[in-house]
Amino acid sequence: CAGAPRRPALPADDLLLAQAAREAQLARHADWRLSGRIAVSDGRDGGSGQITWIQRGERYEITLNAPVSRRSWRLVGEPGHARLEGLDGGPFSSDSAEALLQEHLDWTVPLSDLAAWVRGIRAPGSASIRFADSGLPERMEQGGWSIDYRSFDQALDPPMPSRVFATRGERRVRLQVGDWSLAPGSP
Amino acid sequence: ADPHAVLAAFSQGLEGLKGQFVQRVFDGTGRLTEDSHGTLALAVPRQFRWEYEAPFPQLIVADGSKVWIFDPDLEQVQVRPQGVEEQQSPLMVLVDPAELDRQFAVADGGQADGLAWVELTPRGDDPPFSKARLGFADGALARMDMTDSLGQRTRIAFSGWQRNPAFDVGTFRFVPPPGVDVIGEVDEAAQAFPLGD
Repeated sequence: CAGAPRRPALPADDLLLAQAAREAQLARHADWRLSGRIAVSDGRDGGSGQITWIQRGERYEITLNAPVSRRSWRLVGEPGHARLEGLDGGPFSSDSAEALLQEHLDWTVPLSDLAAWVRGIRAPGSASIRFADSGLPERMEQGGWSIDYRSFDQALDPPMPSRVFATRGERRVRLQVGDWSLAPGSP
Repeated sequence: ADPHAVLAAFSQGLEGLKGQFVQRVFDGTGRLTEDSHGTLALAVPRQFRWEYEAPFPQLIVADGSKVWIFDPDLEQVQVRPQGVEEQQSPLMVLVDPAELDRQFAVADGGQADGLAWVELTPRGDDPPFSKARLGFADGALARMDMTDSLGQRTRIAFSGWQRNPAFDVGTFRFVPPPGVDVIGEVDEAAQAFPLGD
């Protein structure tokens, strides 16, 4: 159910085929790593900082360094178990990483879906995509979020998003990725 | 060397500072995870401006009553009242020496890498970093190293210090550009200790 492509050269189903091929290629890179900046807000409050996200299959390690205060925290876990370290009174554990971010930082971040969106691919479940002239996703709608792909690093194979703006009502999660590492089994 | 003397030599007669910095962050295993640089300006008693040029532009301005954090590429500005966190910054004690002994236990950090080091241990509870080390080369601050609660080491190297420079008018002011999200306490009551402009 792709959004009606407005100008891309390829007909709709070829675009979806290209996207599916991209998703299959990325699925083969079970280990990946990004570093860049993240900004989260609910329209009133929020935060930002330098982010390093290391994914090894189902396991993730996300480190965030806030500017000025150098206040930093790290979220480590896998589906069903998450741990948030570095905050006063921590470490905190829960079966949900999203719950930890919500409770201790008041951040609403759909983490497991974001792991797909930040790579320019759909998370499991239904999603609609509008493609840019390049044939790469321009906007995706999924789980109540709309994800705008402001730019891709086309020098990478496959091209990877470099600026991703996800919005759901007042909630915003914005990522700028300066460094992607997709090597299989990358550290 | 007496650490207070080393610090005093640098902050003596200091009204303001401007210079370049290179900031590197190493994770617990020693891997470089952040490598950024830009320019820094400080003014007595608690104004500062960190302008990161690379890898991403970012601007942090403390105007004396509010701290503004501007991420242009993420189109977001955060603002909050200036307070304890800024006072706990090792840099601020250089332009606000009266705060030094209130905020930190000061110790001689010895000689290393050709620098005379001063060790600052925060007195507050739940400080953002466990220890800061300031390295001086013939009286000028050359390095600041900090270790945080995750065992990450932030190492900032300074160069090109200009003492008491004439600051451009807008150096310690920030007005959010149109079209960006502004979040945080934007229009709260006047500050308890507002700085006259």
